[in-house]
Amino acid sequence: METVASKWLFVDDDVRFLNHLKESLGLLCGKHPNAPDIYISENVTDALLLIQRELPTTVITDIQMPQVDGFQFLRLLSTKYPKINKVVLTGQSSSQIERLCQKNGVARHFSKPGTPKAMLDIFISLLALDKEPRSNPTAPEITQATELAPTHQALEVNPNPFKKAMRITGKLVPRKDSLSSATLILNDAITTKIQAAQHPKGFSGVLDQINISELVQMLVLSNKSSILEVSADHDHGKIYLEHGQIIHAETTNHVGESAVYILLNLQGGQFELTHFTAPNQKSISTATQHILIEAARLMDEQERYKNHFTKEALTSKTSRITTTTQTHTKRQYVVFEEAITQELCIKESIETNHPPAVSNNAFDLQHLDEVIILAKDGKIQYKHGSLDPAQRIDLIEFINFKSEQIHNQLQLGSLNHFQIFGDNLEAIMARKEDDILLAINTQRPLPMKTLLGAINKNLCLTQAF
Amino acid sequence: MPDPSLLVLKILAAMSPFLSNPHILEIAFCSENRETWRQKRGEAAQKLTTPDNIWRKLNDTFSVLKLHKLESKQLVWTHDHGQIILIKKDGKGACGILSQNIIEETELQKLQKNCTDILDVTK
Repeated sequence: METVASKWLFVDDDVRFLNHLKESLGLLCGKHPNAPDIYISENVTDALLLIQRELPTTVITDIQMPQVDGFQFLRLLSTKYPKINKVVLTGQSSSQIERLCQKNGVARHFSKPGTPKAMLDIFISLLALDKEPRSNPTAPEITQATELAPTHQALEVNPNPFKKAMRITGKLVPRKDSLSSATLILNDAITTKIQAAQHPKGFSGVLDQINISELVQMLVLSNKSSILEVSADHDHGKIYLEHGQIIHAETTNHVGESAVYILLNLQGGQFELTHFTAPNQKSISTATQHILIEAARLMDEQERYKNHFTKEALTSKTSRITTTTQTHTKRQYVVFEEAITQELCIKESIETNHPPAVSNNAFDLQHLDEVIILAKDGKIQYKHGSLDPAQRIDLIEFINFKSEQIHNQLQLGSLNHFQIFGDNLEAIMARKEDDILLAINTQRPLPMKTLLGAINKNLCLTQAF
Repeated sequence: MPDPSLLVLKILAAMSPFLSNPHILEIAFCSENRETWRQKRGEAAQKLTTPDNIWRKLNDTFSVLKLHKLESKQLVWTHDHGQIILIKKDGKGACGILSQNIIEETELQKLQKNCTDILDVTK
């Protein structure tokens, strides 16, 4: 068996811990005949660069990290560097983390060492891990359960790769194949498709079991040049990849990185991979890996605030917040419910949408580019210029979520209004009682004072206009 | 390339005169790689190491707004008992100001301009 020198990369956002670790391991390793090379990185971006350069035998990562958390990082490693041993070293320990470790092919899971003895144990365990044969490098191997679980159990842990493999290859994976085999078949299938994509005819498909991020990652890994055209209900666009690097992207309204983020965030839809032809411009110079990490982070952030409004979260929160905030939380839930059944509700609102009664304080809403007013019951009371009210409701949800974070951490009370200023853009979200107004102007400044005056002089927005 | 931590400290140092305003309780800076520092009135600058700190969470708003096709450079949250202002410059990061009162419009504009200048000039 070929002997490979051990190289360990520790990834943790706690720099003091990393330095302590490096120092302690340095002392231990200095006396050891097979001393490994130790690398440290305080974020995933730097870690990926280091991995590319040094190709470590083992990556030991923390879980709770900014930008990209440990599990996202592990998933990325599994895809790009399946031969690297993955180890988790974290301050947290729970059955959920154990389960996620298992799901992400983690070979060892340690708690952060508190004593020199604990550090020595980890050191010995890591050395042993490097000596273990890695004939099947992607197979998850957990300290507590040294043998890979039987096939049906493995598939229960993460059934998706199995399903995806079946879908893409169009052939059944034998039951005796393990989870890792399913993943390998999936990778092979996608690689074959990618190779086929080099033929000018290209290939296309429906984004159902596989999402755009995964598809782009595979294209990046293949180092090929191609154009990925994506279309979904809300938007469509193209991502240009040259030698595995994203060099340009465009959607209906965006060009460059923002277009990539929008396209990677599309749900469902269809894709088509065609032969590469140079775009008119190269709008992206940022490293592709960085863009993919940022996109993953943005999607996580969106998921987090959507999950925040689940019924369970609402129930537990309502019991411990003040009366004022309670009203808002209830409203947020109504808005959330509204978002779920948005099509029906919006249709209903639009059908009955008369500009609300005009008071003396009002001004012509038609002068603003976009206005949406949500009433107490969460329904759209008035809307003007908004192409996609569902997305605007989503945005209002997000701002409410952020203002709640402010309230919880800084005790600043309830949100009155939130202003957004861009190069050619002004927007305001104002809240009065239980009504919410979102107004956006793109070419001219918003009449903020008039808007706020109208809001403040009236008990609720729907009376104001 | 300048040391990101050094840039953060330089920007915080340039912002520190804001703390002489009695309404302003805290200033902060969140760099492009999301390294976050804050300085409260009468205290030294402090690095925030936990990822769930409020400044980092608020800084994420820029990215989410971008996804909603509302690319922005300045954000102002006005709550019942205070205000938070965030001013961003691509390639540098975002300055944050926490005020215990609602800042008047003219003063707010002045603060926003000063922050923009600091972000433009500091290297």
